[in-house]
Amino acid sequence: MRAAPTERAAAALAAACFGLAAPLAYVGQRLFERARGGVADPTLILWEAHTAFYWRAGTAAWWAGVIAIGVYALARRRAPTERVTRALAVALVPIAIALVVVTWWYP
Amino acid sequence: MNVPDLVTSVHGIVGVLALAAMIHPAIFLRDGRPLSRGLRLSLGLTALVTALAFGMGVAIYEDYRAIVKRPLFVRDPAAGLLFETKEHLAFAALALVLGAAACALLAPRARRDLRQLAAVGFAAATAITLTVAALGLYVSSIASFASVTSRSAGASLPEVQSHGAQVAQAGQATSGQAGASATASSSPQPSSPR
Repeated sequence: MRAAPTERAAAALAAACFGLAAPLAYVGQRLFERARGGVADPTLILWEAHTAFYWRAGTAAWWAGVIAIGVYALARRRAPTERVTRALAVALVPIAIALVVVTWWYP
Repeated sequence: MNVPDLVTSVHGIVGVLALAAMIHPAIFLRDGRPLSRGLRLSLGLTALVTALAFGMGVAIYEDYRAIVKRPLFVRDPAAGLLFETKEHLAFAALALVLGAAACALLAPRARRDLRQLAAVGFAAATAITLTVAALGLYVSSIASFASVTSRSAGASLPEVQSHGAQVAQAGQATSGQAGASATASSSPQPSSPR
């Protein structure tokens, strides 16, 4: 049984939103850690367990999943318009550049 | 060559392969044509290879943390922080590739705009992965399993870990002495683990 085009379009948009939301959630968590803990001292990192990476990645994937499910639920009722997907495509490039800059300055 | 060193080499090769693979859908999806069988295969393989590269990185992360990370920070703290940037960006690239691949595969035939959105996702992932690859090469030129364990060739893993700790402590002691002489005890150096 094939899904209806509206449902498939909603699922495709939800997948794209997952791909965009996961890095944003990850970087958001990292910035929160940095804001809470201050600037890292490299000499202290020598003893850092740093399994935080696994948790950060897992939590970011969970948030992205929640956002994707929300987007799917909304887009299923009304198929996403071309305007929405084009806006997302236009937003994706500066967001990707911002991700690189932010993770470079606040590793 | 020990097992972590071998896995690191394969991780690097698979990572570069993933970088090459994601360029293909970024180019061929840009006009939003319906997917051919070959392009479907390309999308699946790109997602698979990227996930494999990330998975191998995660698999060696524990050993890397125990053996290489401390000597890396001792030799060059800036390079150590660049490794942190690399791991953040690797996750971003994986998420973008998986999202873009699913978006292109799920999009109905009539929706060119969704496939073009996926193409932008792959292009962004390619740029990010290029940065990851460059950072990986740079960081491994400062410290790697090979450079750390070559000084204790033939040693077991606990011995190698112990060697890494000794390198870190030696660097800590050196920086502590330098700091003490420079600041004349005005700012104490951290001397105990968190």
